[in-house]
Amino acid sequence: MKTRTPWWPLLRSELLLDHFPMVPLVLGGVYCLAVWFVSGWSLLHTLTHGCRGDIALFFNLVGDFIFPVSCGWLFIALMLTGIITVPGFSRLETYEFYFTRAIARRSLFRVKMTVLAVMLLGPFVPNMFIALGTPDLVLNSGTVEALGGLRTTLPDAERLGSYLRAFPGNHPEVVRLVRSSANVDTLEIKLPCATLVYAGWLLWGGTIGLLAVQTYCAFMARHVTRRLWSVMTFVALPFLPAAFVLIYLHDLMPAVVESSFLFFARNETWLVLAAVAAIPMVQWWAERRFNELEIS
Amino acid sequence: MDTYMIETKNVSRSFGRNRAVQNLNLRVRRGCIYGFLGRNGAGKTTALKMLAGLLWPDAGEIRVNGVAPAKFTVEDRWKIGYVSEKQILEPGLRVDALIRFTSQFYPDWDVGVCERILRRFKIDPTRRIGALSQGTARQVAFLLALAQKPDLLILDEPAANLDVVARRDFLDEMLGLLREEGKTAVLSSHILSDVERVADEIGIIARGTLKISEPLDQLKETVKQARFYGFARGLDAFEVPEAFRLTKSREEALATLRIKDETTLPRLAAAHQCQYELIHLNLEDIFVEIVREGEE
Repeated sequence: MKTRTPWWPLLRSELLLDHFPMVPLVLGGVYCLAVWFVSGWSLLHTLTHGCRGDIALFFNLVGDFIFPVSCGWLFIALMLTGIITVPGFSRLETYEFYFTRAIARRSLFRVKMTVLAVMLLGPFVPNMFIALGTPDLVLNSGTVEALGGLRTTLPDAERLGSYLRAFPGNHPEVVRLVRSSANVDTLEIKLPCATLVYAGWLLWGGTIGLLAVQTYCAFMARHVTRRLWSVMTFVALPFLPAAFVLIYLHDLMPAVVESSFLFFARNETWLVLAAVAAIPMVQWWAERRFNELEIS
Repeated sequence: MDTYMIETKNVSRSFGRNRAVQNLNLRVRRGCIYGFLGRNGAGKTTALKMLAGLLWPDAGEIRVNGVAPAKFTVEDRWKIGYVSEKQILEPGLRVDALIRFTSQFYPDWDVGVCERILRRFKIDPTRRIGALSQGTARQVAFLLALAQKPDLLILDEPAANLDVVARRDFLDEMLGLLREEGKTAVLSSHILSDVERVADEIGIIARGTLKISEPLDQLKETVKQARFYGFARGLDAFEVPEAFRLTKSREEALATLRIKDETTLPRLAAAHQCQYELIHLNLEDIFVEIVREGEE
């Protein structure tokens, strides 16, 4: 029987538990947990409270920022994944130490990626539970009309149709008339479970993003050397298309982001299953690449 | 059990156009201390890294303790200690934390060796690695390699950055470990006097090619320098086919060669009608002659 590498020392090492005395460690841990929780919760709070649960208003207000914020998150993910899986980007000599101990490289990689996944995707997970106890989201025709002429939104009819298709089981009994502050009656479509779908969409997007970053790092790990141009290319390459999008396709972003949410809502089961199936496949492939890494 | 702890067959490795190691055929017997010598850039570190499983050969076959480095398991790693040329340890960890971390991966971890080396080198276990001098950090790396009780110790310039006393202590420790039956060490160093003190066998590599690999006693016994003088017919036509190196001045020739038997030199002198004088060489002289021959 093959001897397994004990994972607990590796986990302690990745979490830097042996690097600091207990008090700063606990204080730092509490601070990180607070930031971690608030950053995840704010994504939900903006929708449910900042935009009063009005999904059209949310995408109109926040749609412009979601893409650059996602790029920022992916950048952080790339930096962290690069540090722990790309020797040329990190310190080669540290890898040399680990690779010449009685530590299975696959175990080392698995622990590293687990810590990273918990750190990066963790903030999205509590949202799933919070969303269960959150009031339903709505789509208000008044908001839709008001936003109809704006550049950043989907066309009215298309948007209404899209939401009705995305939440088909719910709309017949939840369409109601609402009197606005200007004494105008507007239609409001309740979207039960949409908060949960939104939280799931964030988690799913984060998972896909992290898998993409992991794939990129696993592919590039053996090509990135310690030379500055090599490191810069490694970091910049995936963000060149993003820069192009930000500069030239900026206006389309809110509609694209909202369409992505609707697409997820329509196909959530398949998309979640695909992501769940992709995790072990990408992990297995990345572990194999890590196992074959050279330290020159 | 194989006779050889290390066996390589026609191993080559290139980096771009630079052929770091060419057709390396190395055999290191069990229980032997093998001094691996060469100039900077000769291919020593590349060869040792291939033995340690940090680099893969482009061609050829490597067996370390009967296993190809690419297929090392955790159990195989228990038996191989490695200290690299630039071993950098986790700077944020205290010495005792690093020892504790490393010990968890080795079932035969020798606490006694740790304590003895800490005492002998006067290393404060409560200090952080980052606060240690380079020499002391190397001593810690050496401690970690010894305490795992390896069957094979691969040491790439282990005495670099050590003062004379520490170097001597290090060699004593290494010899102490290797006195146990079946322990093997491969040691590369620029400090030839150290190698001469401890090595049983010597391998000299120049420009990626192994020039010599044989027991040290045999090497010193058979490789000599001969000064030929008093040529009756001039020395233009004087050649020594088996010489590692031959230099001629106006009246004499200096040849470094392997003396196969007692008749070698008298035959040469008789053939060219000259006289000769035998010069005994130490390891450093032999090394310089062989390496220069490769370069010329």
